[in-house]
Amino acid sequence: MVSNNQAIDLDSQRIAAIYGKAVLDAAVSAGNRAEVMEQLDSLVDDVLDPSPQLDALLANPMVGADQKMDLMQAIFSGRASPLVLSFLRTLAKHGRLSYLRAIVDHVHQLKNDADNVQLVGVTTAYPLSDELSDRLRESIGALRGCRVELNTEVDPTMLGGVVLRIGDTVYDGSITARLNRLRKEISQGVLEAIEIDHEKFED
Amino acid sequence: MKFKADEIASVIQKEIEGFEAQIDVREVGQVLQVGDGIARVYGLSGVMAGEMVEFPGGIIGLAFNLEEDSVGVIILGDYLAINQGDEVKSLGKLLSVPVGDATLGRVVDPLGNPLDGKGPISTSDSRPVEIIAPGVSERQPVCEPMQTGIKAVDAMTPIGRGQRELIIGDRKTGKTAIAIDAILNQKNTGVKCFYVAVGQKDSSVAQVIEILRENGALDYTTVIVAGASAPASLQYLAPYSGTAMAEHFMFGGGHALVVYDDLSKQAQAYRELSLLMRRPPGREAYPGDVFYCHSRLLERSSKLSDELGGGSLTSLPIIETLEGEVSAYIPTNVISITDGQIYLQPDLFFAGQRPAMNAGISVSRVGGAAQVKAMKKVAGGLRLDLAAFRELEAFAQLGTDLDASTQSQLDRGYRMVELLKQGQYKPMHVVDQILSIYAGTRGHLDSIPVEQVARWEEEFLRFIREQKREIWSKLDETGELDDETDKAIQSAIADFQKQFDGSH
Repeated sequence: MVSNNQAIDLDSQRIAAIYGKAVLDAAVSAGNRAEVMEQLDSLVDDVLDPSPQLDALLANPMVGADQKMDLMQAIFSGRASPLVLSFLRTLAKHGRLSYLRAIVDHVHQLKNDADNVQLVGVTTAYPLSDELSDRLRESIGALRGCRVELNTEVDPTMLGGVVLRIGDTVYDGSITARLNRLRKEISQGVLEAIEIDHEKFED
Repeated sequence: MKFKADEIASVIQKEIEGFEAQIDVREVGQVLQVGDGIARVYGLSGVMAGEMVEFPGGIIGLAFNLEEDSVGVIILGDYLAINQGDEVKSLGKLLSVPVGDATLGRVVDPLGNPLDGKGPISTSDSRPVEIIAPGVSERQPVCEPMQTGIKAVDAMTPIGRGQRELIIGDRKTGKTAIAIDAILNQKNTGVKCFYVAVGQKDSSVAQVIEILRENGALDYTTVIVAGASAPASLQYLAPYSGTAMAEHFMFGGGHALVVYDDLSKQAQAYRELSLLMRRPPGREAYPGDVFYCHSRLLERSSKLSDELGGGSLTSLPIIETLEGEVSAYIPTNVISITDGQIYLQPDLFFAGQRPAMNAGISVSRVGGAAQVKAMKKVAGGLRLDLAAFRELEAFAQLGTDLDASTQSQLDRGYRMVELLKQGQYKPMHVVDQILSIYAGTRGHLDSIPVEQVARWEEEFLRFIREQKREIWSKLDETGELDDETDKAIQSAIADFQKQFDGSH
């Protein structure tokens, strides 16, 4: 999944954009996008996440490109589809295996764009019920004219309400934001009232 | 003083009742890196160049560089309080500053926050800091004089309302003094003054403020300070916000004078920002658009057409040169933008000629049209005569024998130089200036010993004010020197000469 909170590395994003587009286009023209997507997801979730050593090895510049290509061949030959295998070998050849996670993230983004799916970050004070998230999904989808995928998060400090994040735009309907604004308006209002007629307030 | 709790409670209640719970929509980004007064922000995909953004804690920034996948923001405040990963929100408006009568008499920073401890600036008016200058059809030629009260300037390089006159010279040659005198001389003229201190020592700025206060000039003056310890972003911005405050009066049909002290420091601040933003360096490592940085600022000084109220904004930019090097990048830029320059020279300064203006290379390209007619008449050839005198003086030092006419030209020159000396913070009324210079250029001082010229002038002006008041008033009213007045002055001088000679 694409997460919003990871540290942003612009260089790796730029590289991931190139390889991500390449692999997705290849999968689409081969006609097995779903299968490739599933394998790429499983590559991150089932292979890289459980074995950090492999992760470190792939990023290690001391290990040569040829060795990494052989390694990919040895691990995934027969297990992964030929397209995924040759993608991994290409990455190994160009020394880009360490960008695998960023590439998979980007593939998801491209797929969402192609399918007209909008990823929406939802933050609430309490976990969302299924019924509520369905309603949110529907209403946001109707508003934006697209299908909606929710990325929920729970933050008790916001007391209540909901914060939506669509792309770079944040719709803040949280209780804390309203309280903050109320505080600002009250202090401003009192200040103005005192400036207009300060004698009224003096004892 | 105590406050009434119930009155305040009722105001709060009103505020709560009137509070509308809207959903707060904002465009956000995330700080990638921060340092040296700039931040690189990821996100903010809809932000526009020059738009204001807000960091946590209310620190304001300005979108400066829009790049492919990040936004370069200059931070107008304490950048040490900002962390990587902080949320940045765009405010959807351009940077603006408070304007109006409430700003007069105040000392503020480039964002309009008070620095003088006199409480908030209570005005609801504000103007954007950066605007496009009035166009051709909105202007008219400079036609009214902007008296600086300095004999040398008003006689030889007259300044008109709406003009940009550069004050240029090495350090410690009296650049600020000329600008301060010009501000002091605007008393009772209705001209609002703005002193923008960029990269100056805070002690010097404090001194300037004190002088303005002592002379009663702070009532119509705003001081905008971005001192040497202020971040480069604020130093870069200060001239623009000072201009915005002054423009309020210009567009209101009034007159304003703004002093930028000094633009070399502002150029350096802009260079710092540009290099940190990784814009390519050009000559002297200044960015390619440093000319535009100054030209768009100075272009905002203008004399508006009568349909727009006829207001004006005069500017006196100051440039500090190094070792008299006027052909460096920034000095040549600003010289070419402005409508003339007053060039101050260290050797003249140390020879006791203060203001240390070099008459030969100081010019005013448009102010002549706005000069008081009588002044134009008496001071017409003065600048060229003085320049010729300086050359002759250098020649005479060789010790050659001089013919009588050369000697008399030299004598006249020595007396004119003496006459143009003027004390600091003593701006003179234009009629006094006309009378003094009349006496000098028409040769009435030739018989006075050089060291007595200053005393002669002082006593002569007093004599005119006390005994020949009608001449003074007539010059003040008409501003013209007709034959009748000419004769009256001549006879007054003759009367005074007897008195003056008699007193010795």
